[in-house]
Amino acid sequence: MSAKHQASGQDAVSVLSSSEYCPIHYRERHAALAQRLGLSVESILFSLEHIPLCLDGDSHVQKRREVAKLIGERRTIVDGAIDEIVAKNFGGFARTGDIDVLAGGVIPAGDELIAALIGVETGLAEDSLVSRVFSQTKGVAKRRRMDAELSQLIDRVKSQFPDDSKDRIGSRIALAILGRDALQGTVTRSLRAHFENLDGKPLHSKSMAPVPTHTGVPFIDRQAKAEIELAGHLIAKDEVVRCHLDSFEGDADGDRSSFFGAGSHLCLGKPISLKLFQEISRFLNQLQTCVRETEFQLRKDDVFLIPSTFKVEITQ
Amino acid sequence: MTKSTRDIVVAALHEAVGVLDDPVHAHKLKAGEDIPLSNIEIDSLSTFEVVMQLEDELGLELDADEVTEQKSVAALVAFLDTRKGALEPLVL
Repeated sequence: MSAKHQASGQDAVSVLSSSEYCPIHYRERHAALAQRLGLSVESILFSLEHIPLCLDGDSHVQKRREVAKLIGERRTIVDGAIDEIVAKNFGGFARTGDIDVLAGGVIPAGDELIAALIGVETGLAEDSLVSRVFSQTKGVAKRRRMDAELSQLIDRVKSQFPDDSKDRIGSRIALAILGRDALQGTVTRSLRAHFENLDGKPLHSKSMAPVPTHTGVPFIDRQAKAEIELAGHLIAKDEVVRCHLDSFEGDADGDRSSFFGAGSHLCLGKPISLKLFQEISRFLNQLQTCVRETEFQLRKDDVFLIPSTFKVEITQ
Repeated sequence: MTKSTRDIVVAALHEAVGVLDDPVHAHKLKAGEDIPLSNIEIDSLSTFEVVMQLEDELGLELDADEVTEQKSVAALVAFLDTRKGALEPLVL
């Protein structure tokens, strides 16, 4: 879906922070399509009911509180696991050879982080579709596969936490969905920029920034609740404004924290994501090896900026 | 008899938006001529009906934008044949 209006920089922050705009009605869109085509997408609909990013008003406040509580309870475990996750999955950068940065590093690291966060291994395939619930273009076969993956994930969570309430299960699913592709895209794109910046010099010769330089979530869409003016343009009720988080790429470290959104929908996983990124940065900055990109291809995706292929060669 | 990709595309368009009910479109399509997809009124939900039919008939996974970005029926047929070809095993 293309948005009629675009907002960058502080305009994007002001829209994201404003209560005059609401999130896109992802659940309703999936439901309408499912009804028209006679599809069963119950697990997609359940998941979207529990993602704070998809909710507005009181339901958003309540869900956000629940997710924040879950993160708070798991935070010590997650923080304690990050060093090991990074050392295990980025250790290949210390040795000569070829590395598949996605399959051999970023994807398992992200999955292990999410497992620490939600308390259960997700069991998701490398090419899992669960984070694509925000896509407006996925065809019917992929929606069926997405629903089946989410159904398995929900069953896995229920089995691990049989006493969990429906809301608690939903919160764990929400974190798995929100954390996956967004994190993978942000880490891989920032790593790629750093490797280009090194220009063949050893990893320790130039420090990797402790805050991501690029984002895997290039924009967030918001819908106007009523007619409103934005930067001299009139936005009609229900029109969509695309808030470009990628407009902060290249800004100073502090400004780039806007990658994580703003206002009441500010990403609840921001502190954990930043801690992971800082540890990746610390780990790579001490290495004597050099990195040369051998293959990179962006995935065809209407929501995330994330590679389908990212391979490098490590030399001394 | 195996249906051609073009037959499947035309059937999907007819099922979703009744393209053969339009005499001009019907004449051209039955004569094997091409028509721009922009000449066929397909709303967002109908696009997904077309996608579902094509996926079911051809055994492919498609995105809606892969269909909508094709300029004409012939272009869509060519795109689908390429995708089908990519799925078929090599015969040595």
